[in-house]
Amino acid sequence: METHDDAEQFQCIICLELVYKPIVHACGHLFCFWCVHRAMDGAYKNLCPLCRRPYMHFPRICEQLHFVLLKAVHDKYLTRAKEVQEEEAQGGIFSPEINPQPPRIRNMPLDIAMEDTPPENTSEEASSIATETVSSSNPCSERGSVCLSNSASSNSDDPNPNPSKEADVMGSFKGKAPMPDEGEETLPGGQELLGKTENLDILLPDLTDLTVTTLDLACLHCGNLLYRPVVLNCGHMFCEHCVVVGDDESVSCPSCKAEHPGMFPQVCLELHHYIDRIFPLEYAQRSLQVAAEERDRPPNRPQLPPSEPQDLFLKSRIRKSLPGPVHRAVGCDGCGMMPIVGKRFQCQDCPEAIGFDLCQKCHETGCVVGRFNQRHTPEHRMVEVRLPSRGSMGRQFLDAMANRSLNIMDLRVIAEDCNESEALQVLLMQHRIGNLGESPQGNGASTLETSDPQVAPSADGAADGVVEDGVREIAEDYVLQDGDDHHEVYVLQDGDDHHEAFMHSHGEDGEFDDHDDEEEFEAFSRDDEDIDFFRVVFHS
Amino acid sequence: MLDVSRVQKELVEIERDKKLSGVSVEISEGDLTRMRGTINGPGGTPYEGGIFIVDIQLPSAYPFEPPKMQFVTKVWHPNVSSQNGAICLDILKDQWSPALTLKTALLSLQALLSTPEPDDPQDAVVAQQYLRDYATFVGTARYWTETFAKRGSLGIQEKLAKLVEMGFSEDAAKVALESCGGDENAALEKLCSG
Ligand SMILES: [Zn+2]
Ligand SMILES: [Zn+2]
Ligand SMILES: [Zn+2]
Ligand SMILES: [Zn+2]
Ligand SMILES: [Zn+2]
Ligand SMILES: [Zn+2]
Repeated sequence: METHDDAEQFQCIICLELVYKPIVHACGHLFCFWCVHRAMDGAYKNLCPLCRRPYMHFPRICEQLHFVLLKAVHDKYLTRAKEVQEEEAQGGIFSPEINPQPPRIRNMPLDIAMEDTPPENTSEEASSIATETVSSSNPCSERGSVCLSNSASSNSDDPNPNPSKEADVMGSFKGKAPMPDEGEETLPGGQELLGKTENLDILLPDLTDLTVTTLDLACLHCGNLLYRPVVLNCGHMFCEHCVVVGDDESVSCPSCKAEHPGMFPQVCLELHHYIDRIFPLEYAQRSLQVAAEERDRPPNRPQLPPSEPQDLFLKSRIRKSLPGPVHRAVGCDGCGMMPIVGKRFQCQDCPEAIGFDLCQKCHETGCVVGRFNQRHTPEHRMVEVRLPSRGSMGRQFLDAMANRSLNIMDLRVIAEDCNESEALQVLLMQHRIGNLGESPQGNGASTLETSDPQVAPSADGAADGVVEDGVREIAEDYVLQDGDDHHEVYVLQDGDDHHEAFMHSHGEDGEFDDHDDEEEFEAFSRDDEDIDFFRVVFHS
Repeated sequence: MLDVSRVQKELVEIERDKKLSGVSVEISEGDLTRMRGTINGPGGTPYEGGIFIVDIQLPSAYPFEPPKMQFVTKVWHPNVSSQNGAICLDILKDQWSPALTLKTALLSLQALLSTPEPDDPQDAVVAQQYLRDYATFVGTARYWTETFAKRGSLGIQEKLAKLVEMGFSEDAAKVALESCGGDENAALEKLCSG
């Protein structure tokens, strides 16, 4: 069962090792948990390292694949587990614990395993059992946001289960760090590694047989052998045709119902080839079966979006249209959004170094299961974390503008991603008109030499046009001119009285400066009567 | 923290494949962050026959940040600084991906030698020449290859001295050598016929 092929096949292209705690992106590409995490851009959206398709959410580990690998390449996988465990102990940040018992094996009598029975005779029966088992003990519930604790049998009758109890039952090897026998860990050499694997036995207490069965590779929805497998953001794996697009174009997990953000999931070809290789007959049968089903009920799958354009200009355009404040290097533990855009809520009680944060949506749904090994509970206190929005930062921005003697040439509100752009336009209109009296220069574009906060977004030069032409004229962006440099400000609204402006700079030739280095950006905010929250990102 | 294990794997792979790929890497003693890459000049280009040395520095965040690469060997190419060997190549900047490796980066440099991108130049002078006077560009690039990128063959000064010894003026010999991309036999023929 353990072949050279298997290990080669599931190699992570980032660390060049056997993939460990596999994460499958919506594009179908497979990496290690930590490799995905390290490759993510904490300041903006992310591109798949292989195909450069964009994504904003850090997916959950595909546990089903984790258990398949644990069987298929057992020794090597344990060695990897060991390596990663040591790295984590050093770094003090831990990947999610995975319940040591794969859901199938825990929930299903082994004697109904399909591999010993010809699929054509019993597949219907087997699949109905499988489906029933899945629905009654949805593996998702172990990780889902609602019922963290109902999977272990000892807890199933407890109406108010205690998650920390569950954690003990799980006997997580992640949670052991700092390891009690850490002194021995420092001994080098393969002998030590072998000697240590007993620490990991809790990973697979009942794995006496390391043969991968069709049951290990069953779809969580239809219960059949996975055909053209796809993995959703929640980490659950299905046949491609078992995932359907909702009426509102959204995709939700058929198992845990979690929304799958981003593009429609693409087939994980690595796994597709693997299943085809180890179960050629069954896979061919599934192919025929699915083809027949789809003849009657043609699938409604969106087209695969193209790779991210390589154009820097486009990249910076998209950056501008993020609809809300960006919490750099902070990810949502519920949906995986990273960085969090919009409101951010942080747990005051989770002691783990990685912390526990939620986006607004996940905060409202009350998600408690983190993307790492946090032991967050509903009793923990969540507090909204605001980006600096008052006082000195706003002052700094205005001073910086004043010192640069920037001329405001134009003003515009970008409507894309802006739900209430009209309301915002009115606000800006009031804002500008309100400012006109305070800076009565009157001719040409005004120069911002005043440190009066009220003056910043106003423009005498465009003032006449604004007053006469009304709101339409304001639906522009600011273009600030500083010598040969242009600075563009795009104003956005995140739907909550929060307005955000992004400013970008052109060089002399009108090209966008390369904003690759995020350190070049500074964020400033201010509150005033007209605009509650005003944030400008500009090139220092 | 540098992913040492990955770098070592990469080095093994480069070593195993260097005959076929035409790129190789040597590490400085005991320091995995500093290496020397070599690229064989691609055939059918003015760089053919040259061996180009590239200084490679690995940032500690490698492979999540691109390696820093710079030509040590002088190269006449629109996307390489003729002054200091700095390289203008997108994958070494914002288009880097951790799925790329030292080998793929060196192969990209090799490909860059084959297909310059004068619209996105590192060296404006070279790019101008490439666009306006391609023949001269090829001559100069070949001359630089002969002069700086060939080991074992006679240095350009020696070739020049040889021709002068044969009785040609130094200026004429220099022009002939340059126009023939440093090929001393072709230069001799040219001097004799002209
Ligand atoms: Zn990896
Ligand atoms: Zn991809
Ligand atoms: Zn299915
Ligand atoms: Zn799910
Ligand atoms: Zn979220
Ligand atoms: Zn908490």
